[in-house]
Amino acid sequence: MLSSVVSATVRGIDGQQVVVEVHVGNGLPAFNVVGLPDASCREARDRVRAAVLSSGLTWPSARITVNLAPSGVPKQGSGLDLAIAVGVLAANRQLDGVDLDQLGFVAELGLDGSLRNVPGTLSCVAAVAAPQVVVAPASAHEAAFHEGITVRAPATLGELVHCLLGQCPWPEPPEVDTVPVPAKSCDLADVSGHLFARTALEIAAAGGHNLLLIGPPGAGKSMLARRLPGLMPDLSDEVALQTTRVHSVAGLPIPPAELMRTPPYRAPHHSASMAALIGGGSGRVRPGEISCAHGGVLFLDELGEFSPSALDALRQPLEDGQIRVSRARGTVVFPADFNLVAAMNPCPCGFLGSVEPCRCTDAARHRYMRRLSGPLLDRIDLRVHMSRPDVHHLLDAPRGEPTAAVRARVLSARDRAAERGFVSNSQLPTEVLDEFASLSGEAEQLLRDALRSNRLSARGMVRTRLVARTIADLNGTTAIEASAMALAIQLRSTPVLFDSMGANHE
Amino acid sequence: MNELVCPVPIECDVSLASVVALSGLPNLTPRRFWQLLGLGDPIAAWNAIVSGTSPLAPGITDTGTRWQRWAQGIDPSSMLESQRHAGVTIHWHGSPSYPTRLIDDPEPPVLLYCLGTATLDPSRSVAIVGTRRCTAYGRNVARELAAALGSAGATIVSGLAHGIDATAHAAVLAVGGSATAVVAGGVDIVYPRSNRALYESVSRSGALVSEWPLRARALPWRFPARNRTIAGLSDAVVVVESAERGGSMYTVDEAANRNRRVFAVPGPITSTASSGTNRLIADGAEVALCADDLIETLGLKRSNRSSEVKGKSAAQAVDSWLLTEVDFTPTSIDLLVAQTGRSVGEFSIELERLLSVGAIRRIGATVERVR
Repeated sequence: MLSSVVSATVRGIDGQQVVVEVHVGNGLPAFNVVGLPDASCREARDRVRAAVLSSGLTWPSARITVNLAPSGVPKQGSGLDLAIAVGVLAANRQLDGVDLDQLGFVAELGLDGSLRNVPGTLSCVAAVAAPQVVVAPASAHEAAFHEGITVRAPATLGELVHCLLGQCPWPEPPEVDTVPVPAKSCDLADVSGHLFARTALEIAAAGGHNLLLIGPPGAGKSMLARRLPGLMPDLSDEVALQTTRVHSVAGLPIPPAELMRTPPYRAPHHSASMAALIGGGSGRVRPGEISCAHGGVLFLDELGEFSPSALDALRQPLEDGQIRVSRARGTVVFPADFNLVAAMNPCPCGFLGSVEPCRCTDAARHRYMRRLSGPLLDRIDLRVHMSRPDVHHLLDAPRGEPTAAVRARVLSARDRAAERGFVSNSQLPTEVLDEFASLSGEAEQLLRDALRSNRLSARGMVRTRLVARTIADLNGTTAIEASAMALAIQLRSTPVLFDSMGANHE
Repeated sequence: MNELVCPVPIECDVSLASVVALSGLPNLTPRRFWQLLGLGDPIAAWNAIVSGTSPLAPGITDTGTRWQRWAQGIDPSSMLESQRHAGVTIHWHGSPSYPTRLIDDPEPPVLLYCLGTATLDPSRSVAIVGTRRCTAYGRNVARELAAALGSAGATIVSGLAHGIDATAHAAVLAVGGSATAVVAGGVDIVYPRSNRALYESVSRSGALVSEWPLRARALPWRFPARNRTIAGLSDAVVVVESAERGGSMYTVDEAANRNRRVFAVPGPITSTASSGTNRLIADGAEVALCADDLIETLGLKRSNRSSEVKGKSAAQAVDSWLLTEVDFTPTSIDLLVAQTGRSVGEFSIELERLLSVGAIRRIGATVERVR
């Protein structure tokens, strides 16, 4: 006797439909799963058998063969458990009269027959392509993101069989907690002073520029970075779906009632491996931190402490907005379009370039700076050297501008940039610079002076014009005025980095 | 020092080879070196060390065994040959090429290894020394003084260390002047390693000098001896920046013992890097106020290198609301923005303007006035 049930597995962040075919026939009792299952998938045999038995159902004493079609594609994870169980029951004539064609199944089974959540349910449900999908109650809200699909979420296998046979109605999907979780109070108003750094943050949000914050410990680098997502516009439908999928596949919590709309903020520790950062891993390819930050902010604190290979691997996604992870069994593409915010101390003691004296030897500074790769630095348009806030300043200073006010400016600047036909200013190609980033006479003079006094390189000049374009958008001017250009140059040139590298041999 | 037997009794290559071999002995201070030579023939002294029968002062027998172990692996004649092969010239006390400034020194080096083209007997030589952990101010002053003195014809003597030393050497070579670097290891040892480029340009157009043979490492006990050679080779010593207990203070003491003039560059009383130099001034050292003063006091001829000076005085005429707020010591940019109450854009224009005329300099999160 034969049955076939539809389910899905995850590949990258996309779902892949899998048809579970079950044959129950004569022969020595056995239970085999074929069709390239991975380890967790092959273990389904034991889970499924135990779940069927503990649900008070009959386990056929026969030769059972399960084929996962298409059989050439590797299957991973435990999301096929439920489909296998239902397939076995159907082939054993325990579900006669049920129209299984209208149903898809994505859930893991517990030994007691309970249905459990699997990572990537969001992607799997889309791939199942059935009008009704059965998932675990814990992933019901995730499955419900797809319109036009009826989500069924019974708590156990036993309950599912009763519902399928029409012995009881389908249970209501669990109540979704629609009260939004109060966002962590992260308002820009908490940051007083730091006018240059605040402005840089605003520019980063408006133009999609990457940002490097340099400063002594306690200057407020992390505090600022944490406030960048709040300045950025909500995610568009497309990006929100991608980001939610990534988070679902990565097993991260996702919002209860809708797709992720707030830009994510990811701050991996500097001990993160390359696979953890950009995605990969042996066997199952998982999305990395840069994909989890898709549409949001990736904050790398202590940039110099990250392994050089991990940092170098960031270069390509920073250019392309996605990462292609290739393994022997195929290539997976993850979205990875994020704003990079990096923070570091200027030297081991942290005080180089501050009012406080630096206690490091030249050799120590050299070693510290050598860890940064030039090509990565090249992709960071904004570099701000922060100093510790003055004590008096800290106590007496008025609160800074609140996030809401800055965000309003960012949104209107983004609108202006969008009229040019590019998503963000940081991606404007060089060819259209003259068309879209024309300079006023004064601004051009400033740029020439900076080039002449060696404070800007040729590449730096192009990037500086893009930053100036964003500043002009924030100011609401068509041409780039002197103040926008001067600020852009100030935010690009980081004298301390180069001073400590070559001061002895000027 | 009555046990000094100057000059060194060297009659032939064999005795020179023995002195060369002796100079590499571990923990051999200059004073003990002279004591060894005072025992008589250098060849005999060397053989005594190899056989472990050197009649040394009591209490250093431990050193005796260390010396013997070291000496047994050495062949003096091939050691001498390798020095010559590397292009190192050897000046011993008593040889015609020995620097005249050191001949009557209270504790002269027994011999000097030298790599480079410059003479060790320049008509005028000035040591510019200071801390390795210098501030931007110290670096600027060292650069300016070395360039001015160098183009006025003085050879700049220093120690090729990080900070003031390296800056002074680089500056004098940049104006085509002459640099003598006295190092605390063999002249083939680049110490600190990050100064390799500078080391190479000194060995090309200046002189690298050491009391120790090739491959001798720059060990702590060698630095005081190196400092006394710096003092000995110079007519005057200028201390740019030094903490009160800095190594430069050793050079100053040695200079005072040799009746060399000592100049100290004053600095902010809040700066640790200037605490030593300020103390020197309080204790009666001469004050180095500007390069021209030094040139005049030392009887040098002023050069026509005035283009840079002119450029700077032009910057002085810049009229700016920002310049009056900026100090000659690093001032926080964030604080300046808050104090002036201008917008970041407006502030940046002025900052850019002052930076491009060279009126101020930006270092990280701070700016400081240049002139």
